[in-house]
Amino acid sequence: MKKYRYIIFGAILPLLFGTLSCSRDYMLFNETFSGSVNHGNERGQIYMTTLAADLTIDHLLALEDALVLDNLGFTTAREGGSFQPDGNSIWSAGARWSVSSVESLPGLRITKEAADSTWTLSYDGMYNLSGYSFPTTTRVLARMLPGGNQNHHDWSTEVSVSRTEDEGFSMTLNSVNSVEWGINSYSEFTYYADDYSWEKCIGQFMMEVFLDKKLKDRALLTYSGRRSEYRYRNGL
Amino acid sequence: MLFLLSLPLNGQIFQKGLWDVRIGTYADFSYNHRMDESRSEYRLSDIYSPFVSDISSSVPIYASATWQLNKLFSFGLASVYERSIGTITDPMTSRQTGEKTENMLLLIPKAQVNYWSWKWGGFYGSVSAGAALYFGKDAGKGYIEAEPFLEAVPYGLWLGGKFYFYEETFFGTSMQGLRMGVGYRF
Repeated sequence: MKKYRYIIFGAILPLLFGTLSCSRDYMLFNETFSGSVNHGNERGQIYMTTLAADLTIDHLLALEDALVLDNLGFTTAREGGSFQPDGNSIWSAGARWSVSSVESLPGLRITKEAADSTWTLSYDGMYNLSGYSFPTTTRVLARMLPGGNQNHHDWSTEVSVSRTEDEGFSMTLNSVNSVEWGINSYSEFTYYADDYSWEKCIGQFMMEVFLDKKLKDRALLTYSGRRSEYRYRNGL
Repeated sequence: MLFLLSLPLNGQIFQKGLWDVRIGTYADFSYNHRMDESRSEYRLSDIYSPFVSDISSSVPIYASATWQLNKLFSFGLASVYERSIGTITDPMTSRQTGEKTENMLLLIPKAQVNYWSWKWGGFYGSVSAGAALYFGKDAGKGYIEAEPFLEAVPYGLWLGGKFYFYEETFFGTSMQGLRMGVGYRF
């Protein structure tokens, strides 16, 4: 039969020099071509909200622990345990305490410049943000506000953070003016607030992201009442 | 973004009446630059450089039988076995971050409508559209494939192109592309 053709591997031979196919997965199309700023928009807000809140709260918790020790009269290094008071009450102007083994901020320093209710906390170490530890330098100015509950105070904070990560990335995070943190302001969050968190939050943070020391993105995070109520804008 | 270089090698076992039976193989080399959804939200390099590159090669072997009802309609059944070996590379650092090996066996029922064809001299061209459903290792994935193609065979030299589009019905992925080839037909 003429139409029987036992030609195996014959129709197209290796003479064939190739075929080229190009395709686009449209699920990823926008991601591929929207540029890095939009990636920052998608994921950067999780990074920024987590870092701003975790870091501020870690500092405030350490400060409040120091206040508790001070209230109990532990003002010497021997009495303070992992907190090393300088012999002065933490309320005294010029007081300088350091913290050797607070889990999240080992080496934290707490100083008080004047006879008011404001402390300066500074840290220089490997801060762990949800599993990623990178060199981080912080300076937090914390002013105690009226309010709070039996466990925690309300605070007004000014935060300044710089962090150097891998692959050439680094960032700075600064509060714009001051950020107010309040405890027990919303009844539905009472349990969490009593447990570890300041749920009330009013203020703004500015974050700048650098790649190889060149500005890559700038973002503004605005809290308008509680931590779950925020507006994030990047690409500024 | 997926780039695919394909080197086909196929052949016809027999053609009798309305039946056309073929087997073939081809070597595919692909480069896929894609976003890695598994990356963290807590590291800047993951946030601002979330891409990885997949480089893989595969040698699928296929057999197909097609029955042509008339000039317009044809139906076919194909099976494809494919083994892919690839690497995943971080484009920022060019570091290899993973490997993947996939084996896939597909059974592809196919219906095709040849709605345009022409023949002139040694040239033959046609455009057809079809639908194929893929069954295999990735059970549950359904593909709808449309493949208008154009073939020209002047003096035995084969020139062909296929535009394909498929929809991964259950997972929402759609893909389209162009596959072109040139070769010699006995």
